[in-house]
Amino acid sequence: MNKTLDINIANQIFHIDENAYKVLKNYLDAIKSYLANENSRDEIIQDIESRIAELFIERMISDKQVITSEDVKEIIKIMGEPQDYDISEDEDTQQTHHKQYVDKKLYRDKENSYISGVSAGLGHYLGIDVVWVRLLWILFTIFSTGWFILIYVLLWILVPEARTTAEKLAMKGEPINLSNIEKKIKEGYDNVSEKIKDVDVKKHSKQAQSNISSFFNQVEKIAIKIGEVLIKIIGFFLLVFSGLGLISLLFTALGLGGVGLFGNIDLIESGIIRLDGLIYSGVPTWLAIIATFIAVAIPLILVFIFSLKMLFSNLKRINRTFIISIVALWILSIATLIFIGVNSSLRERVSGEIVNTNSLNLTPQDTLFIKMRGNLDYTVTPFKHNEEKITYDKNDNKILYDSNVDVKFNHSSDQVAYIRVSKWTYAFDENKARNQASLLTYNYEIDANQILLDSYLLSPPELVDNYLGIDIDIYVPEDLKIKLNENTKDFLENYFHPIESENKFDQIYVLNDNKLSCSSCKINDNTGNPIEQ
Amino acid sequence: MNIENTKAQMRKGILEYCILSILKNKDAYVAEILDELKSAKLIVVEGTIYPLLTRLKNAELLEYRWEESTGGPPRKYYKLTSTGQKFLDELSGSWKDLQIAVKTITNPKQNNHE
Repeated sequence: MNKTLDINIANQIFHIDENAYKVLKNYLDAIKSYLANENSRDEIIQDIESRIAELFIERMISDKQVITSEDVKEIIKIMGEPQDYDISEDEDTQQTHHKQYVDKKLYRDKENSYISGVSAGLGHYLGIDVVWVRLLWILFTIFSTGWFILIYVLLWILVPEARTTAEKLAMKGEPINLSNIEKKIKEGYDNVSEKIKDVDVKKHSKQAQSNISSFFNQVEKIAIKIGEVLIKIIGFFLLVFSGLGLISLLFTALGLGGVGLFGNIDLIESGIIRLDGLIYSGVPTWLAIIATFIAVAIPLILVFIFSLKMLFSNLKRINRTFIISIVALWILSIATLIFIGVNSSLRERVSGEIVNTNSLNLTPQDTLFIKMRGNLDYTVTPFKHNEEKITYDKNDNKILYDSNVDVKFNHSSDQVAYIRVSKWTYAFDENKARNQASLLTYNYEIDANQILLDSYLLSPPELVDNYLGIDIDIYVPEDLKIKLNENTKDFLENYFHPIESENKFDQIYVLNDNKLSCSSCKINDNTGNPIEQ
Repeated sequence: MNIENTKAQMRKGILEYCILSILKNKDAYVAEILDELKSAKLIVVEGTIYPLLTRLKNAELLEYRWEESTGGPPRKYYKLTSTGQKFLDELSGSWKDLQIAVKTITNPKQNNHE
């Protein structure tokens, strides 16, 4: 009586008895190993299998139902021994094939293992008896007070187990050729039959070894399970992280694009995105945004795919060309960003300014009054938006409008009040920066004790991508009274003292320690009591 | 020197030529090619032919199509390509030269007497 199996060869179903199955499987495995260097091995194997199926069908005539070992053996006779499958391109290959020694590879030898086969594998690799390896492990573990175990566990995890005949041969440094494969397969048979036949001392010790080994096999299986679960958990977090990252990135990019369409709503001032370097680099902003987007998105996409693979191990293999092309795209975008960075730092290497000073004829009794002045042609109110826009002047000429105007009060060293107006830009060299600065138009008006400052500057539209502005420094004697119009608040660089006071812009100030100190306020001193100053 | 090995090498050398020749007149599937080769005693076992056919196909000397068969797996019918045709013509030429060469060398006396 024999157990039978159902097998599928070339999509045909056959009943085959167990022994016949083993012979057939070994035969096909041997052919596979023999053809290991063939490019179209799978195709060849497929052809061979469908021929075997044909031969089986020929033999299944009459009432014969099951394929037996005899059938398989006869088919092997027809098909030939594995070495007959070898068609060498040149005559020498046949010779070299046998000489072809492979490099020894480190595998775990589970057949001779107590725990995981690491020692046995190392024994093969180093060419020494496994007993010495085990002894060394024990000695090292004792002398290292235990941490050598870690190395053992690491090897256990990292070194693969020798499963196939070819791997077992490579483990021992024997050449992978047919006679060795056949020998191995035979050894396998002998081992099995030996186990059935003989009951001797060696077998008992083997038994004990396999008991210990099977315990550690269980440990290994549990560890693998835990590892799998951990990988799933990590994969899940990576998936969520990269997914959310991608979504928010997409929205940000869409947001930026949308802003771009609707004009210049300032994202820099809003503090969400720091594109200062990019804006003034002379590179189109959209290019900078796309490059930034790609540079951030591609690692996220890769992490996303990677985490998907961690979660679903049966996922289809990712196309290599796809990976290569997106990595190339990523490198390109990084290169673009570097170019932008270098370019902008070159463009803004040095500043240059054109200065104009004017003295203010004030007596100590006067109160200096500062007011910003807008221009209805360009803006409704004189507010500072960090705003830069191309617009048209009265004569319909294109012009760049910019509100980058800063006003600062300073101490005058010689008790005389004066105003210093600096038009500045950045460029590759100072001459160019100064030339650019001279193109800026900025006006102000001194009317007795009142200074009217334009809240904007105008420049030719070519300077749209440059970093430029107006710095106004007003030098005042220490006790000069200052009154500020409310519209100066966006432009003033000095701090107020106190920071907040009632009707801030109705008060009179003097410059004290670079702060605008309120001289008409009711302020609280340290005791908390209101005092009149 | 192993006589079996030498014989095998000789056979393998002309096997490609013979397969292409069989396919010159008609398309055939593996069993048919095998029958011809076996009846000519060119091969003893079938295994040899599979890597060879695949190699010839990869070299674009052969192409194949699938055909259904009654009560068995579908069959690959092999056919000569135009490159294969040219290849075969060239092989035929050199085979004739070889035949003459071998004859001349192995039967030198006969030749001298002629």
